[in-house]
Amino acid sequence: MSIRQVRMRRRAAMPAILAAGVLAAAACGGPPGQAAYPARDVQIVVPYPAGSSIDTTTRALAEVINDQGKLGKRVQVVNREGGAGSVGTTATLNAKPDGYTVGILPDGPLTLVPHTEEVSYDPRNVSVLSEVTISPVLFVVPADSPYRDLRDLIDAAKARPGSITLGEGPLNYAVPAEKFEQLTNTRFRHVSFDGDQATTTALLGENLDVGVMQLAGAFAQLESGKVRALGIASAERIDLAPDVPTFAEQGVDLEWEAYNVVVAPPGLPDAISTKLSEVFASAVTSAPFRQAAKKLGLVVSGADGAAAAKRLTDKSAAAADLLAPSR
Amino acid sequence: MLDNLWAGFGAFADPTFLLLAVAGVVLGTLVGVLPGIGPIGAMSVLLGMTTQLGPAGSLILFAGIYFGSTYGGSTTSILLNVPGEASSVVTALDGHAMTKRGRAGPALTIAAVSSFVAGTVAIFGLMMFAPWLSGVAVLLGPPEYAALCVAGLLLLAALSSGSTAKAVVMICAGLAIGTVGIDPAAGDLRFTFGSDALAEGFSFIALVMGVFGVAEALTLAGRRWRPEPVRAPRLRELLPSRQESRDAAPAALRGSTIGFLLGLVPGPAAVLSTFASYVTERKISKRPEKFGAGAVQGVAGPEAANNAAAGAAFIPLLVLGIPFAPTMALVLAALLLNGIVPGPTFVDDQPELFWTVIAAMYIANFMLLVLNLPLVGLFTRLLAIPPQALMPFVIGLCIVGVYAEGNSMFDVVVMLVAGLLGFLLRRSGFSMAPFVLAVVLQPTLEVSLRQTMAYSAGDPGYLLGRPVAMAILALVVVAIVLSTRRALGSRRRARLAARREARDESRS
Repeated sequence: MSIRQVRMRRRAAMPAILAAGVLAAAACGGPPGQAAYPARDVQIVVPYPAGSSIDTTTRALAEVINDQGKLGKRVQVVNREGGAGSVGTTATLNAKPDGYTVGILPDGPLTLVPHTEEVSYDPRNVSVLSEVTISPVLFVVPADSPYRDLRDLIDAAKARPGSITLGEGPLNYAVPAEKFEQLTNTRFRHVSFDGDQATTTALLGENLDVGVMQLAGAFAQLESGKVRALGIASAERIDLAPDVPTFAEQGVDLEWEAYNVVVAPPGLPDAISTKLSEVFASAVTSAPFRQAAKKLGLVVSGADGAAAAKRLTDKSAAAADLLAPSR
Repeated sequence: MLDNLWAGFGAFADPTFLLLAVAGVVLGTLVGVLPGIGPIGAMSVLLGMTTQLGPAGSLILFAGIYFGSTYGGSTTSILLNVPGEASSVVTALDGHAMTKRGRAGPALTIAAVSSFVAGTVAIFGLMMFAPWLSGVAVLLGPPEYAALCVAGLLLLAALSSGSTAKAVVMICAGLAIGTVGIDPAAGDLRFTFGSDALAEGFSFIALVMGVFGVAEALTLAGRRWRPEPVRAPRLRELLPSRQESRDAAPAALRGSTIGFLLGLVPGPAAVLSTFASYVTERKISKRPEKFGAGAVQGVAGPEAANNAAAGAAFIPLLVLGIPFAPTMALVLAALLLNGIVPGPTFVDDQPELFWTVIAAMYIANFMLLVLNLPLVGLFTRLLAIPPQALMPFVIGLCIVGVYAEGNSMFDVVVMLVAGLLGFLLRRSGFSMAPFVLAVVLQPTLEVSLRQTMAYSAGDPGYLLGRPVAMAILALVVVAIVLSTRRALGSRRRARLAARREARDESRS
């Protein structure tokens, strides 16, 4: 009997090691020392699950940071998913402002969600360190769609109001869709999809006329030619998709981009803020990260904290007009 | 094509690849066997390594983990009635019954061989039909998804061995639990009572670990148990009897087909396919009463189905670049980190990679068979440990696994509460499988139903223009009518038999 139990314990060793590894990857080290920052590894919170686009981006960035070694310690990616990003955002912004917890967040929880939901963080009270990537919104149609450009789409929508299906989704898709209707005085039949992948599937299956998508989510299918973009809601044409005309070029004054930003809890000491900003800026603008972002269809930003913070404030203000009356 | 495949196998002259295939398969089997840690957990931990491994290396490793976990989940299902993964819940029904009858060895062998057969069928299918099949699968729209979910749930209610009414109650409970948290379509928070922890909704892993892992441990621990003298089956005892093999072979082939087809469809195909296969086997069996009491077909079919579904799930990922399952999302991430964008041009642009992956899958499958039949003896020895000693270990592992998955103490509490409720409900004859399937299908069902309504704009005539959805729903209706008639018929026969018996008794 006792021999058997010992055997079990030995067999239990493997899972225990595995479990310990899992925990070690997630946990943070000892107490903060008196030594200069950083005395231990820095956690990067990602509010979406492993394997999501922002997680892939963050892990690529974390690898560059660790390779460059400018921080002096390593960074570790921690996924705190759920609540459309609100869980991870809350975890980041309500953490101790000691520089050991930063978050790479999509802008939605900071700019859009607070307009429609009660959130347990203050979206205006944030230390913005750097802007990592930009993903402009596009209107995408199946390759054999009758619509060649936005003009075709607007004309068709005016001829048959409320019958052309428009796939949108979370606020970063729903708001530009509504804005487009306002600007062009059209009406579509809205169908909500749970992100770019679901929209792509519906477009490929000819179950949807037009999809509102982000460049990162549409990139692979655009490259393959299975779908076409009618327009991109960025200020100017972008290098990743040089053939796609902007909305402004086609007479629709719509600009809508999603950002991934590096943020820290409010009240971060200046020295730490400067250090982290430098570390992230240097990694974001590095060649290996540019390479990784390009493959994901993301435009590398590298804008500093002040510029990024201004963009967030502007976007929040632009959304407020639209979200307040409709909800 | 043969030249390509040969070149793919050629890549395995590199011992690193072979080593990765072994590591993936062993790790996959391990996380599959252990409740609490699944392939998603293992893959996300290893995701950081993928850039060092390169695209081929990481695909080989991940494919090994995935195949290994679908197989490994069956071992504890059969031996302990504790499914290591949701996809081996069904295997426990007859697999564990076989163990109770002293046929644990053959049950494990049948599971392993069926998995191998199905894996091979699926890889062959992936190789032959990948582009064409994805083209069909992608045409399914929201009405079809909604119909498939309804079909999945109703088939399950018909399948449950206990009361159908109780199964429907558990389905409703699962659907209700699934609505907590973020609204999948509009992004509003529902039923959270202002709590951040609930904004996430209930963690599926916590619920499953609770109602299966913890509740099972409590059930076993509450029993007065004297450890039975269990000896590891000798090599000879692993062999199924001739009759068992004859029953298992066609079931495994049918399971492979069902699993492969369902694997192409978005949704929890691995889980759904096991249920579909089980129902099919029981429906076509001449002796359906044997199911639940150790029918060989009830092990061979579902085990084949989940492995075939796992293989087929690679098709939409590689050909469309769209993952239909969370595990596939991680495989996609590993590819993207290596600068590979899977999509319609993937096979043309990256022929070496595609064929190396195909070869890797063949090798992983073969290794599962070779490694796991000897390992079966090791797992069987776990039975020698009294459950009172093993079950705290299982609960401990569940707690660690749930915490590691979400870094949240709330999930651990959810799991323990779900475990306690599951324990009490089980004692009252409620089955947990319908509950779990309802929780899994709830978001898909809700989103596709709401999309269908948005498309139709309130006009029910819209559904008439969706022949596939109508056909699925019609099949469900036919299945329910048939099973009701059969149930009524067998009840009438039972009544007649009882009457005749009573007459006979009064005569004598």
